[in-house]
Order: sequence, then structure tokens, then C-alpha cells
Amino acid sequence: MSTTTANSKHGMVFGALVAMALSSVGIVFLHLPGLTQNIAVFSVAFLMAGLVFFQYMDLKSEGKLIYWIMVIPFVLFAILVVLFIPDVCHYSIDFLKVL
Amino acid sequence: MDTSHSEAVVYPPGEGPTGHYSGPSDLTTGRLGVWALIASEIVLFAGLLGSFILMRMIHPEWAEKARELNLYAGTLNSLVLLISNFFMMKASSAVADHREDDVKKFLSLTILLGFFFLLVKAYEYSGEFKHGNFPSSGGFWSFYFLMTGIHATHILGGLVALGILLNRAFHGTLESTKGRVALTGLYWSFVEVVWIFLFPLLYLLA
Amino acid sequence: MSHDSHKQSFISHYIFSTDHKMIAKQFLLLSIIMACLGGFMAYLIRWEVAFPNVPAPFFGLVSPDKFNAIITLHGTIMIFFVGMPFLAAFPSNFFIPLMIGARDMAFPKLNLASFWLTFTGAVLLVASFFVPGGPVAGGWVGYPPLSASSEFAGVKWGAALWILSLAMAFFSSSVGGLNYLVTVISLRAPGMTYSRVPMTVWFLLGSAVTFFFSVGPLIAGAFMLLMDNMFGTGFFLPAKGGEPMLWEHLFWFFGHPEVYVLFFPALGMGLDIMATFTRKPIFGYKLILGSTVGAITLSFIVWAHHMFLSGLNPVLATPFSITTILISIPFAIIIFCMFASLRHGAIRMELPFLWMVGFLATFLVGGLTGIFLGSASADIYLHGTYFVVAHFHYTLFPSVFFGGFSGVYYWFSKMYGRELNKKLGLLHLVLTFIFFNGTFWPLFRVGIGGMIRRIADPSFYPQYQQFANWNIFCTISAIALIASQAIFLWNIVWSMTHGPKAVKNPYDSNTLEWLADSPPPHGNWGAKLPIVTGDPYEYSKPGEAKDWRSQAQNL
Repeated sequence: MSTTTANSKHGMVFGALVAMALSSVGIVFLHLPGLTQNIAVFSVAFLMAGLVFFQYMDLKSEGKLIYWIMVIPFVLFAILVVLFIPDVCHYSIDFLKVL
Repeated sequence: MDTSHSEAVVYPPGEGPTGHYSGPSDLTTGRLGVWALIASEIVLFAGLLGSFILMRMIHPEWAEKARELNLYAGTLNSLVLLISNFFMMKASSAVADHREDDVKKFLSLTILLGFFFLLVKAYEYSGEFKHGNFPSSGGFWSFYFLMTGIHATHILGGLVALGILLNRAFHGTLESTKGRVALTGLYWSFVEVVWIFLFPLLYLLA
Repeated sequence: MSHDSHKQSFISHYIFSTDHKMIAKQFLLLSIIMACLGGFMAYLIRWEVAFPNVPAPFFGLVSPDKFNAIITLHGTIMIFFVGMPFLAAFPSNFFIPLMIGARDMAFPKLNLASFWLTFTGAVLLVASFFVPGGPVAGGWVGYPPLSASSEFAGVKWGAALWILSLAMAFFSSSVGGLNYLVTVISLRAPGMTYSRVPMTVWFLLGSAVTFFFSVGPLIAGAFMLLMDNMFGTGFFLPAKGGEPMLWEHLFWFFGHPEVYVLFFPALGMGLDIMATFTRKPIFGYKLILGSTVGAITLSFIVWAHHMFLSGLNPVLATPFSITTILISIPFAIIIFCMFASLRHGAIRMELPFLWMVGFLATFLVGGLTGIFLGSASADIYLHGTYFVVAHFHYTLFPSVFFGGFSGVYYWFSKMYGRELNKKLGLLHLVLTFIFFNGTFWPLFRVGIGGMIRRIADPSFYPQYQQFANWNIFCTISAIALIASQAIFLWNIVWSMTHGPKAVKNPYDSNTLEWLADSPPPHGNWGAKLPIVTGDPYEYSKPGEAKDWRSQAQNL
């Protein structure tokens, strides 16, 4: 990939990231109901993270080996959060009312 | 892997001991090492953020405390880090094109913005201290100072690495280890991703 | 680094060397020193349990608070400063490059930093003996709220130093593990495809990867505990809205994979030794690798079996019992593959092989007793008793001592160019085997009888009087066990300089490290790298003159 297209690509990615960062802050001022605000803010965060991972860090052009190394931490994150819920959140029926 | 291979040194120069490189062709040892480091760091932040997410779910009152945070400073910091990451990418492509003076310029800008991020963070901390919010004043503040503290330490580590590269750039010895600018860029983007999750978790949750 | 001509000063050759072999010997030396310290503490613990309130020779009276500190330090030292360096760091550093035909690790300076991090951790831990308030005394697991604030544990600086020394050990092992991963993937000799990599390297790599994927949450937990101790935060203090169970989860999320990190190197070395001394390929190369990957995957979802009785939500008891019982399947497959490898073998009864059989025998007892503890219903009775103490000593001790010593006796000639004394080695094996079983086998009985662990003065409890004789028996065997290790220390110190000269390949083994000189020079292979043409287990191939065929023919 010649560097000229790389530079313009970086520029576009940067622009998108700044727009998303400001929009996630903007969502707060909309005063949406709790859960929808959290979901909206997090989806923007996941989009930004995906963009940085695949564009800036060139995860797209890496081999299968790197994909395997990178997928493991996210699987562990999911295991950790889900299996901690009963103890840290004192899992009980009214736990769902918190969301 | 044909076995008639003579013991030619096919190892990328300056990257480590001479020997036979047997890894995937599009990968160097440094890049694989940094990706593995990022993977183990993600598990560290997984433990940290996972604990915070769960504690935050059972402490609804932390939402009021989150509003005491300086949202403008947080947003400014997000932008500062994005810009710093952008310059880091420009520095990496400048190294690829051997544009020495651009490399120096963009590396210095990345470092300056990194320090500015820490400055804004210090300003925020002092603001919290003035309002009487210390790590010991409740769960939310303990997590806030712990998580932003660990993230700031990672930024500091990145700045040290960038400083070394800038020093090499000024002494013209960057050529032998030019692969490391891209690797530091990888690490810097990872620190950026951590803040991308940290910022909404602390500042924006309802 | 690679040219051998330059003259290295004493400092850069021995102290700050970036040669993977010198770093391996530094790890070996550190683990031996810390094993002496940990062993002395084991003697004190056993003495206090058998003869309560009787001053222990060489130490004096082991009062209850000293007892708690000694138990904590015994656990921490033996796992992080003996187990990890002796099993994960020393064989990985020395044999991963040699067995895959590399000249050194991928990141030599990082490898140097990895040793000096562990060394600093060890120094910090020893320093914590002498700080005001004494060393940490909350058990090697450091459960809050006891460990989270000095007003409960009465120990402030000791706890902070303990946490920092653990953090050092974690960074060192994960940085080291990263180095081994990159080395195995990118520095294999020409022709060394993944299916030709020996088992030792696979298991050392499995151990390293399991470590650096599981240590993250505990580093986060360690920072939280440090802040609780030093800055008055309340992560784990219920009074301040914290959650003590959060520490236990973060700790054991790392804790259980950690016990497999200690166990895998012994398995890997055992398999390679098995192949060499039965003169035949091991049974089921791919089956063993598959089971190892299965075991590593399962090891990340079993941790709560350590917490059945510490307030774990009953909802989790059943799933974790199921996964714990499930994980014994991959390990059973690996152990039975080792037994199957013995069949039809032209077995050479030599020291490394005998140590490895000792490992198999004792580890099997440990593995099977784990199944009782794995199911929540049985654990309700057995948790916290000496049954647990006997179980984990029957898994850790065989891995570190029997597995580790089989490696040392097998490769000593390769490391130092001189052979160990075989008679002393056999004596050391026999005594260790007898006294190890003498020390820990009765503890199963004492544990089932209900005696709780970590009690300084059992005579205080009338229901434990029935075990007084067993405890005395265990203490005497423990003292004899510790004493018999002196034979090994003398053997290595003497043979290092006065042992008979070693040949390149004393046991006619196939793997690559036997093609290098003993001890291998800087850069391992001189001018030409080995070109691998065969797999490591081509022994007794029909129709061949010799019963072995080295992996590389060009050296």
C-alpha cells in the first residue's frame, strides 16, 4: 500500500474517530433513559475500538496467528465478567432491575 | 520447508541473533512480541474493567459521583489522545518513506500530546482533590484513580519508548531499528483503545 | 552477541549476560537458594505442628503469629521463587533455543530483564522479613479483608512488599513467556516444522502461554490490594462498600492456570525422557498435544473450586464442579499415553528415567485426590483440611522435585559438560521417594480425620490429639526429606567441577540439543545451524542399524 493512500486513509480514520468521540459525549446531553444511553455509548466505543484495531494497527493484514493471539483475551474477558456476576453482583432475581 | 536450505542468515538484520527465521513471512519477531504483549495487557484491563463494570452495576449511586467528574477535561483528553495517535501513524509512514525530518516532527508531536494528556489528567486529579474526592473516599473514586492511574502509567511507558526513538532519530541511528517506530505505534494505538473504553465507562454511563 | 571472538568481562559474561544458557543457570541458582529458604520454613511448620510450643532447633519458639507468617512465606516462596524459576524459567531458557536449533532467544535483553525482575522480587520478599510489623501473614492467597488493611493483619509494610515482590515475579514470568512464544514461532532451525518440535518445548510453551494469559486479572487485583493497604481504599473491605469475593475470584482466575503452569514443564520433560530411555516413540504425539490444548482451555473455567466454602454463590458450585471433574480427562489421557509409551520399550534403567517414573507414580496420587476436592459436595467436608495440603503437595512436589530433577539429571552433562555421580543420584532418589511419601501420605489420613490446616498449636484442640503420632511421624520424615536434599546439592556442586567429562550425546537421544557441545558455546551451534530432517521420536526404526536417528544429520 503506497504511503500516499496510507496518509489519506489515516486522515479519514482520524476524522471518523474524532466524530465518534464527540458524538458519544453528545449522547449524554440527550438524557436518554439509562439503559439506552449506556448501550449507545458502548456501541460507539466498540466501533471506535474496531476502527483503531483494524485500520491503525493493520489487524486486517495480519496472519491467522495474530488473530488467534488477539481473540483469546476477549474470550477471557467475557468468561471473567459473566462468571463474576453471581458473587460480585450478589446475583438474585432483582439484579436485573439494576439495568 | 525444503530441507536443502543452506544455513543462510535470512534473519531480518538488527532484530536479534542471527539464525533461521521460521515464522510467518509477513511477520517479524518484534511485531509478534508486541501483539503478544498487547494480548496479555488486554487480559489485565479485562480484570480491571470487568471488576469495575460489575461493581458499577450494583452501585447505582456511583452515577451521581460520575457526574462530579470533569467531563470537558475527559473529552479534551480523548481528542488529545486521538490526535497523538494520528501523528504516531504519520510518523510510522514517514519512517517507511525515509523522510527523516518528518519522522522527527511527528514523533515530537506525538510525545508532546502524550505529555499534554498527562497534564490534563494531573489537572483533573487536582480538581478532584480540591473537591475532597480522594481514592479513599468511596468505591467509585478508588476505581477511578486506579484505572486512570494504570492507564497513565502505560502512557508514561509509551512516552519513554517514543523518547528513545526520537533520540535515535536526532542522532541519525534510527535506520538500524526503524521497525520499532511501527511497533511503538502498535502499542500507542493499544493505549488509545484502552482509553476508548475507559472514557465512556467512567464519564458517560447513566 | 553472535560472534564468539569478543572478550566478555566477568560482569557481562556472568552477571548481566544475555546468553540464554547463563540466564538459565542464574534462574537455577536462584531457585536452589530460595528452595533452601522455603525448605527451612517447611521444617519450622512441621516442627510446630508436631511439637507445639517446643522451641525449634536453629530457630527458637514458633509463636502463632510467626507461624502464620512462615506459612504465607513458605507458600509464596515455593510457588513463585522456586517452582516458577526451576520449572518454567530454567528449562525454557536453556532448552527451548537448543531443542529448536536456535542461537538464542528472540529478545536476549528482555530475557536478561526477566531474570533480574524475579531476582528483585526475591530480594523484596526477603526484605519484608525485617520491616516493622514483620512479613505478611495472611496466607499465600492473601484473602481480604484480613490482608486488605493493616489494622486487621497488623502488617502494613510487609504486605506492601509482598504484593510488590509478587508483581515483580508476574512481570518477569509473563515477559519471559512472551519471549519463549516468539522464539518458538520464529527461530526454529531449517526443517523444524511444528510437528517436529519435541514435547519439552511444546509443554514449556504451553506453560508460558497459560501464564501470560491468566496473570492479568491478578495484577489488577494486586494493585487494588496495594491501594487498600496503602491508600485506605475499600476495594475488598465490606465496611467501605468493597467485595472480598472479588479478590478471591481475581486471584484464583490466575491461581488455577498457575498450578498447570508449574505442572506442564515436568510433563514435557518427562515425555522426552520417556522416549529416550524406552528407545521407542512416545505413544500419541498428536493425542497428547490435543489433550494439552483441551486442558489449557478448561483450566480457565475451573478456578472457583478453590472457593466452594468461602462464600461462593451456590449457583456457581455445580458448573465449577463439572468443569473441574472434566479437566481430569485431558490429564488422564496424557498420563495414560505416558504409561502406554512404556509398553514394548527397551527400557534403560537410568537416573532420569527413574526420577520420571517417580514423578508418574507420585503425581498420579495427587491427580486422583484432586477429583474428591473438585466436587463441591465432598469439598464441603474436605476444604481447608490437611487433605488439601496433602493433595497439592502430591501435585506440586512431584512436578518440581521429581519432574524437575529428572530434567536436571538428564541434562546436567549438557549444561556443565560434566556428569553427575550416579550412585549419589540413586541414593537421593530413593531417600526422596521414601521420605516424601512418608511426609505427605499420612496427611491424607489426618485430613480426612478433619484436622484443619494452618493451625499453629493442634494440642489446643482435643479432637486433634488422635493425630499427634501421625504428625510426629510426618515431621520426622519431613526432616529426613529436607536433609536428603543435601545429597543433591553436594552432587551438583562437586560434579560441576570434578565430575567426569561428558560426551556430546551420552544417552543416544534424537533431539537437537545433543548435537551441540557440552556445554554449548555462545551461539550454540558454531558456524552451521542444524538442518532438521526427522522428527524427535524416530527410535528403533525397523531395518536400521542404530536404534536412534538424530533429528539433524548435517552436524
